[in-house]
Amino acid sequence: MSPIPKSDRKRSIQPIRRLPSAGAAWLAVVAGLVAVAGDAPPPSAPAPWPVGKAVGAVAFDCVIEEDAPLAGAKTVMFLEYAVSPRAIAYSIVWAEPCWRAIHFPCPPIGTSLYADESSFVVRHALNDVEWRQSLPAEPRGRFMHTCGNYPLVDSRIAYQEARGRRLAVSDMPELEANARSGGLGDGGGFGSPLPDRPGRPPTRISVSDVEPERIGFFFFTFRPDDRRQFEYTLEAGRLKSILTECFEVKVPVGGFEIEAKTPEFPDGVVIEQLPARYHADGRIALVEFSPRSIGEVEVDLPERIRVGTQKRQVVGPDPLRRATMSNYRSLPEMPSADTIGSRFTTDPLFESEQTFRKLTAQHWNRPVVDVDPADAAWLSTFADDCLGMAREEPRLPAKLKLFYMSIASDLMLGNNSRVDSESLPSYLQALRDGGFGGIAEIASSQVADIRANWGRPEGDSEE
Amino acid sequence: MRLGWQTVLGVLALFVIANGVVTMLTEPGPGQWFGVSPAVEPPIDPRALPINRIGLAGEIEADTFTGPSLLSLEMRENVDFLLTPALIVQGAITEGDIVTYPEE
Repeated sequence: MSPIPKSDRKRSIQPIRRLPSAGAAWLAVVAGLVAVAGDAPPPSAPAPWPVGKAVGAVAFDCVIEEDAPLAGAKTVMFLEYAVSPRAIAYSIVWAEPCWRAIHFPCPPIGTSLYADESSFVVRHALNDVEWRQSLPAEPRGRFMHTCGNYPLVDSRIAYQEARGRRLAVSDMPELEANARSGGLGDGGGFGSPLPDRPGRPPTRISVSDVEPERIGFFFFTFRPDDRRQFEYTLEAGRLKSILTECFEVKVPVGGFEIEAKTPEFPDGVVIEQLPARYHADGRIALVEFSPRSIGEVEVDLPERIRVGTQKRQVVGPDPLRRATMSNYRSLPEMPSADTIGSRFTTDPLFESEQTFRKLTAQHWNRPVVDVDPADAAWLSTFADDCLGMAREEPRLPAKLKLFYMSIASDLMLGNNSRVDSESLPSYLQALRDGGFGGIAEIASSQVADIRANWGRPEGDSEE
Repeated sequence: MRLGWQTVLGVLALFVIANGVVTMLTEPGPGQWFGVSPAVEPPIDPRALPINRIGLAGEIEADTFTGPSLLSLEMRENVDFLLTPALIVQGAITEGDIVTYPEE
């Protein structure tokens, strides 16, 4: 028998080796398509996408609890929001713990923000300053901030990005076609591209599920760190929750990369662009909705937002961030960029609060404060008034502010007995009653520190 | 059986060479990443970097170079989150918008 020529041997072996794997791959694809087609809704089924309802402008109160593990800071902020289809605005009414520099780019209390389709305004009523910006036309670019610095006006970039990522009813035909094809679309498994819209980066959405009570999809943009998974849950056509996961994002090596040849840097080092995200352990957000009546229209509005990580679960007792919304009400008119912050300036206490802040700044952190007799008299009356009003005040943020101003004035004047017997315990109890026991503990230790360094020692009365 | 000095020297030389090869492949030196010399690695396009490319050397350098930046990125998350309630509500009260979650 003559030996088989090498070329023939190769041809005879290859088909035997390749057929099973190729066949398996094709079978998997076909099986996947069949399975997907089986799960996909019939073409005529309307997709229950949650669509907004026109109710005019609304206002609401919000408590935001934030944790900054790297900075070792916990913060609670009390805000008032005003929102219309064309603009958003918020004012920070109070923030805790208030006894030292708070973890925020500027003194939060008295800060207001307004943003619409073309402008972005930040105003600080108590400090009487304003920053007015247009919206950025370009992406965020290199993240240059360090040491915890991040100017509040840079939120305009996040605002612009969020506006660009929005989905509209006009996107629904594309999304439903995408759902019918099981998310495969014509993008080779990455979904169909959404139509271009100003401000929106090239975006693809891969819709994995559209059921009467559940919608699931993936959201991609051109950036490798810009991927999110969404899941809506609905009940009888009403939006109950949005669960969204952003996968783990870490910055590149030290913000620097080594490149073999870089003409600008002969040493071969180029500064890498830091992504504007650092999502260690990823981020998971859960938004829960409830039906609310605004005027005569019932609309599903968010009641609570929780943001966690794989380790700090959103449903656990200690998520990373939490926002609780309440007191939704109709607004006859949306505040304008010129009128934001007016709630501070029209407050009957505004001028007194400014004087109080001026005096406390003047005498801050001095071991023994030699308060001018006229200032001392003013502060004494102010402390009495604040304490009296705090006892009667039903709203927590206003109550905390009044207690704070009373305690701080008394500490400066050396009225420690009243602080110990009444104002401080009442203030801490108000925090605990509001569900902020952790903040009450931080505040308690901060007051103790301040007392050691600030104010007139008891018994050292004015001559 | 007695081993000749040539045999011992040969085994020793083989051990040294093998150890060198293993070290070169596993420990990045200055200007090296993942044991591959930058001279033979094609230039890196930063846009094409995988998200989690950090590695052992990166973990060490990340603290040195990005520690201050991470503090600002953390601040960015918390500051930008203040927009989130407003943006969700805006989607819910705008006819023609699908309610969604803004990535703060």
